[in-house]
Amino acid sequence: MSSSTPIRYSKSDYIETDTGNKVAKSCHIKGPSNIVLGGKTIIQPGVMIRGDLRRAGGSGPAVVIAVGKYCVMGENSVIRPPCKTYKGVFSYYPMKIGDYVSIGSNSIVEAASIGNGVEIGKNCIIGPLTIIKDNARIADNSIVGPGTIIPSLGEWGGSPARPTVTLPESTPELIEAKAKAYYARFQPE
Amino acid sequence: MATIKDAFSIGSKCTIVHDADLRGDITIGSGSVLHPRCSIVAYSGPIVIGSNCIIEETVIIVNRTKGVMRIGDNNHFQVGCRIESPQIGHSNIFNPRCRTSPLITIGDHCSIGAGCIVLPNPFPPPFSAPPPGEEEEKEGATPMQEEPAAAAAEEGDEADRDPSSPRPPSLPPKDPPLSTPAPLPAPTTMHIPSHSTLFLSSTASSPSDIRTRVWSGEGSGQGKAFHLKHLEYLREMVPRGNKLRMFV
Repeated sequence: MSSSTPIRYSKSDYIETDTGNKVAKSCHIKGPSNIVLGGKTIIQPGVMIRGDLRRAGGSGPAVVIAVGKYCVMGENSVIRPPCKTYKGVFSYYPMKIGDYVSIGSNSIVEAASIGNGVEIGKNCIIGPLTIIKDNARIADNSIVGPGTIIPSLGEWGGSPARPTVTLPESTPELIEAKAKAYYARFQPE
Repeated sequence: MATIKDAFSIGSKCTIVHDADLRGDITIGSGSVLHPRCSIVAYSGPIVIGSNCIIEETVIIVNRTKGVMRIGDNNHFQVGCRIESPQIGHSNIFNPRCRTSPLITIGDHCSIGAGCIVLPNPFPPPFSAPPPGEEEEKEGATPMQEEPAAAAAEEGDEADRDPSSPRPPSLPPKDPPLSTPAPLPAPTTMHIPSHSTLFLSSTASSPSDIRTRVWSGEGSGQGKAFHLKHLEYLREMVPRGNKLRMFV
């Protein structure tokens, strides 16, 4: 398959914003005013994003989920912020997702922060309050326990997720190119 | 196929988001919170859920048996679970995407790990070899199909149907071999005792290959307090971001 083959989608299935974000209409996005998409991000059908679980005790606008640019959220994944009790106060904490992140289909992501260039596989479960540093990779079907910190350029897999290989140093450039190419190929019919 | 008749009995102070899918004879205790896109389907028999339960998004609680499915108080069903157990106790935590078979009953204070498929036998029984006297017909007999682990939640139903069609004890050699499989051992319900922690080992061969540990109960006070605070938060914040479904 040539890397410039377009991936066609039906124009009526997606909403395109000014900044080039393409959000499927069948997504379940709760609290859309609390969600920031960086631009040229693709959110595939059936994704559920919980922007309504905001920080306790705050009023006024808050960013619950901040997503970077050129990200892809796979079909039917669930993106929700993590929660914990800190100094006796229970709250949900904002979730930050970096640029060029791709989240595989059917994954459940409750991470506290995801760096740039992270690839999360299909059917993964990312536990609450995990921190995934830049350019890491989570293999398909892995279950990352709560509070895990996944270092840069590491590929983790299995359940509970454990480090498997170290990714090559060219990974940041490769992932950035891949994400931009994917967005360029994602064209309406 | 009979249509499901809805009969809801929802307790006070329940927070149920409008796109929660409730079907059938359902009773929900007071103070419970149902997140968007959860499904509670009392397909054949009623479902009774206790008070102060948290049911997160894309959870499926389904009762396909004729009996009552009883779920206790203070349970936390996290994202993506599929629950078919007829009897669940109090204060359990069901981690994301776990599945419990209809042949499993669960005690109190258990923690079912993420991605676990809880079956009465971790490995469903393979087909049984026919008795030695009928070796000649063996090549035509259909062996019992082994269920893949992913369809294991259906295993309880399959096992229910098969014992009712056993092979006759003696077979004249001239008859064509029967296609009904040999009878499975009768399915037994397994009980997960209280304070169990079920988790997938790192060398698990399949999601139903589960290890168990017994929790000492240490930290249960904090767990209880955490659950109460979580509920308080949800009761305050969920109505702000979501339209609620009102029950008279």
